[in-house]
Amino acid sequence: MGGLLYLLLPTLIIVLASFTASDYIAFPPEGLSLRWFVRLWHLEEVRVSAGRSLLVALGATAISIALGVAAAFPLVRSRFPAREAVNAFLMSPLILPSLVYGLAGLMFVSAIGVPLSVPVLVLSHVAIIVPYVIRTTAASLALLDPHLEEAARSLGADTWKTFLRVILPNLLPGIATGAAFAFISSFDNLTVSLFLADPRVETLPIRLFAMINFDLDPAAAAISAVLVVLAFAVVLLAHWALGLSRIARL
Amino acid sequence: MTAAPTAPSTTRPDLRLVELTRRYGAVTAVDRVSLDVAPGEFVTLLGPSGCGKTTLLKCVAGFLTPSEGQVVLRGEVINDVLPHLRNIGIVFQHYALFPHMTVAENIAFGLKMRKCPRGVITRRIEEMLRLVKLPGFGDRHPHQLSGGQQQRVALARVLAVEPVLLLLDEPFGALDKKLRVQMQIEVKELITPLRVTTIFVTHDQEEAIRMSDRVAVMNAGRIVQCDTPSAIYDRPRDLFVADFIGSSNLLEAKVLDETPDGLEVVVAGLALRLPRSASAAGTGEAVVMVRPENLALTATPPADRPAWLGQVAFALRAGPVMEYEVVVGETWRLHVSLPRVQTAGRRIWEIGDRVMVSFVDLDAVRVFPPRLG
Repeated sequence: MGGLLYLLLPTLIIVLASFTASDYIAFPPEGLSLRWFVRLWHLEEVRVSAGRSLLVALGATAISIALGVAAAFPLVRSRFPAREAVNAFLMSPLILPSLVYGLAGLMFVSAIGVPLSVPVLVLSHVAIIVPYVIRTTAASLALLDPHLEEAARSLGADTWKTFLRVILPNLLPGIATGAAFAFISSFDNLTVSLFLADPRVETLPIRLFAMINFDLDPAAAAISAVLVVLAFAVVLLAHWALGLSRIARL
Repeated sequence: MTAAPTAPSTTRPDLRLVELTRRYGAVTAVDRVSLDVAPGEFVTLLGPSGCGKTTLLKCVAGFLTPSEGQVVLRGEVINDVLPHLRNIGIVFQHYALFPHMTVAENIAFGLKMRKCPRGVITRRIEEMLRLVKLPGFGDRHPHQLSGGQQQRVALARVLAVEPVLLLLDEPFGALDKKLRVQMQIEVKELITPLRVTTIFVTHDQEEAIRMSDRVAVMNAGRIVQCDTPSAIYDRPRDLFVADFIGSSNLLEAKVLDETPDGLEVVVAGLALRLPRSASAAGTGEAVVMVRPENLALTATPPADRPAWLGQVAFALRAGPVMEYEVVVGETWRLHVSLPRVQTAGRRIWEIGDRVMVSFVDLDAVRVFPPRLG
């Protein structure tokens, strides 16, 4: 419990500070008010960047689900010589400093002469969030009785129907958990976006970073509070709907 | 030697395996297996783990392609037919029920794949649930059922589509002993009136003998012997089958002479005259097989047959029978099993008792060539 408090306390401070009535960030908050959340709503660049972050995160998550689920199958079911190496390679974005990945991504994109754009940003996010989907899907798949497939096949289902009606429904909890983590990682991402977002196309974390740098007012705390609540909401939703605890124990 | 398939029926076999071979790299898992299964017949593939019985089953089901040979189903070679087009039903050891579906949805799955009308499916589900004695269980999920109930749902799911052939892959392996025996009887009662041709895979010889019309004993990828359960038990073709099926005394022996009307054999110092049918091994070193229940213990030498003098070394009450170990001529240990019910002239022997050991039925004694090595 003490450890949990230690981990959560800084987050709690920023959330509480966002409810301040004063004109500057203060802890403990001086008076209680929602004025900075109202102010947030009126800041157009915040609204626009939040919408863009949502779009990028949704796009990157969708692509990650397709790629991650496809990648999980050979990693779990096949026995090929370089399996461990491929697995490590696909997991590497989790270990690699994302600042390094951002810089490398920028150099790569400019080397092949592609201008920075929202699709480029989405694809760069895919690379760093797809490991979540692969991990959790692979964990679900490893638990799935391989005889289920044979049972479905012998009952008259072709490979596609077997996948759709039998395998996929049983992988859904794993896929959803991975997708929740992937979505949050993309939505919160600063380091990769800093390099790969067009300077005129800000994401919410970039906007937040700019606000903290140049104009530190309680609106920044309010954005942080919104991000924290969103992250918890997504994970709790996945937990509640699909039994995260069961997946997490693997 | 190849076990000659002895289909009891003259009609066209439902399933015919012709010189079926399956290799994994350098390993031959199934080696030139031929087998005919008549319509409605219940044939068991019996063998130790690694004997190739599961590989053989997968070749029949279509999950593996044979390296050589043919799988013929109702006159049609199906080597290259995809599994979902074979109409072969399988029941697995761990049931493989779809966990995200209810019992009713599980049973409906095969019918839906065949695009049956909804009304037909609903009626069929009810019919199947009644058949496996689980009416009213349609809305439950598999995890809410006991092992035996899950097994019955798995059976209902397969029988719902009226498969041409039913494959049972160690279906009772996950059940405890008492439930297993109960399920064996239930499944047999359920399948027999349906006259569905069945291939049953198991490593449990009691189960095989209890359930089958014929048993194909497998070893090292081959069918060593395929015959009725009694024939397999009474006339095992070789030492492997003799050892694998039931328990037996395997005694080193010497065949002295072979004449049209009998064999002169010396077993553990005792000269015997056995019927000619006991062996095709020829004279010389041999192994004699005698079942524990084919030996009798008496206090005095029987008048009409030869007997060993021995001493009871061990006596065990094993439910309905007494299990004895009798030492004969210093080195030979004979396993004797007698009913515990005491009738006239029969008694319970104690450790240390001196007894005469004789054969009950010399026709049931087998002589094999000696083990290699």
